[in-house]
Amino acid sequence: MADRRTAVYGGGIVKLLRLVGVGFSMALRRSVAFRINLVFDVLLAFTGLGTAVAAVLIVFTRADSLAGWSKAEFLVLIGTYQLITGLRGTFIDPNLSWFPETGIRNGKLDGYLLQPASSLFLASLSLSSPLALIQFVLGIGVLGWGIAGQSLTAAGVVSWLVLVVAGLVVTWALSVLLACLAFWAPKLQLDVFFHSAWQLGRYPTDVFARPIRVVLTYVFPMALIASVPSAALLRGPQVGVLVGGVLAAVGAAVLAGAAWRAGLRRYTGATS
Amino acid sequence: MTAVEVENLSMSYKAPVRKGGLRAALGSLVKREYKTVQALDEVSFAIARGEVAGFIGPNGAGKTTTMKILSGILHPTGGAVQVLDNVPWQRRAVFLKRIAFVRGSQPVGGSQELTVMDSLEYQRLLYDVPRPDFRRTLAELEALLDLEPLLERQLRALSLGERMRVGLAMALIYRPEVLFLDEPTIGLDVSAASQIREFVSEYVEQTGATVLLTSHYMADVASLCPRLILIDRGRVEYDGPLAELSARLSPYKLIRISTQGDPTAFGEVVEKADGQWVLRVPRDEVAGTTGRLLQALDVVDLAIEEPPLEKVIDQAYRGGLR
Repeated sequence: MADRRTAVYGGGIVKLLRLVGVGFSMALRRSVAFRINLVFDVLLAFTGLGTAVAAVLIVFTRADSLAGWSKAEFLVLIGTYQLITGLRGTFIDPNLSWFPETGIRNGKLDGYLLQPASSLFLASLSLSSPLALIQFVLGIGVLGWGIAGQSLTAAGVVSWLVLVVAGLVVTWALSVLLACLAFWAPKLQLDVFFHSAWQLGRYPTDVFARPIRVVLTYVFPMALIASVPSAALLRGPQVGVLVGGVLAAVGAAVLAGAAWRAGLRRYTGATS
Repeated sequence: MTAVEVENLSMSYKAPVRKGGLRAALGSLVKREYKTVQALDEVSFAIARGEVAGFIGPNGAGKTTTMKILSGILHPTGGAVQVLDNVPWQRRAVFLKRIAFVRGSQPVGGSQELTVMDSLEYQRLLYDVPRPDFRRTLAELEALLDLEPLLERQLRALSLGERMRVGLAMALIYRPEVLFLDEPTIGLDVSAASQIREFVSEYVEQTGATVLLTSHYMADVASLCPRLILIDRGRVEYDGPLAELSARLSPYKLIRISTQGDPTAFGEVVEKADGQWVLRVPRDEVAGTTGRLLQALDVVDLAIEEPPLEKVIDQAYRGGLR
């Protein structure tokens, strides 16, 4: 049965992973060919991260903690944020950014609909931009700097990993949901809004006033991308947070899938 | 065996309408008015396996809409469609692997930074083409489409003609059985266009593929399609052989003669230049007029021609067929 489904609907997970792999390796070969681009990308990643780290270091010459977070904890947070930002830039952004323009008005979506694989996968995950992984590597560096000298528990590390994955899934789902808006409002371009909101993820949610904190945790869960995993890594796992994170990821993914199907029904005229 | 079967296919959509001016624009914020646009109206036709059919009609006639429905991108609002015994808009992978839809306006999608060879390799994975088949088909396509010099180039650096060749190669690498070609020669120069035409006819000959082709260039249609389907305002206005269409639309034939004499008495002169004349003569009088011309004048050369297809089609688009 499983085989038949694969044959009919075009793609087990293995095939999709292979497509991502091939796409990634092609993109990598192409980007290392542009040496000057490569140099600038590395420089940009360093500057972006450098300013964030510098700001923290300056603040902590005057204070020992900020909203209950120590310097080392802040570094862990920035590292985690940078790492997720890098993964997002590598695997998510190259696909759905400017979807109303490129996907719908320029007809890229038509092309995806003709191909024998899930259109949601093709539209949201098939392209990658390997150079953004530089941010991921730098993020790991800062994370290492932050956790040096801290005592970590295995449970903390595992829950950090689980929450980072959950954060990535939620990030993917949010960009799919934003892109889906284009099916109803083709002129709406919310990428800029998403990117600005994303910047809020680099601060622990504790620094914000309570209403904003609630919004960032439950409505537009930027807290999930860095604050929550960092807290779990440093202060030990909390079952409630872990379950909440996993549920948020599953819920967001289901919602994204449903919105995509509804959007496609509208796009292809299946509703009228 | 039919490859494509279309029965009473209809497609309508609601388009918002408003009058010009600010008042109407503000009014449309509160109360939207829609107009139903009938893009396709009870269209029916069938194409047999291995047949090459030309799909013609003026801009906005519904050609691209039909192609999008047949290839599964759009759902129609009414009617039934079977392509290779599948309902296209279910978009089953097994079905999508057997068809290709190539648009001359955007022949190659995907990442424009990739090289042609990389893109073909990606298609191989996407369409699950076994490696030996891939190599064999690629070798054939290389020869037919002169791909060799393009393989290492990036998609974005290709000229329009090259893009079309690559677009065809990407579509044909998985050997689809039904090919929808939407204006494959649009914007191409004369030799690039004829290269594409030759390629399509060779591919059809080799693989027995079924082709539905739209074009505004009558050279495409005349050289590739023994059968024409003409649609206008969403309705099929003609479906049959090309020759019959011109006979039906144009009750005249042209007689081209070279003579030193004056043939003006034998028919309406359409063209005249240094002893070369073109006369327009009703179809049923062609034989008689030719005989009389040969008797009366000292004729160096004489040929009987169909009126140019462009003219015939123009007449059909403007005046309709009835």
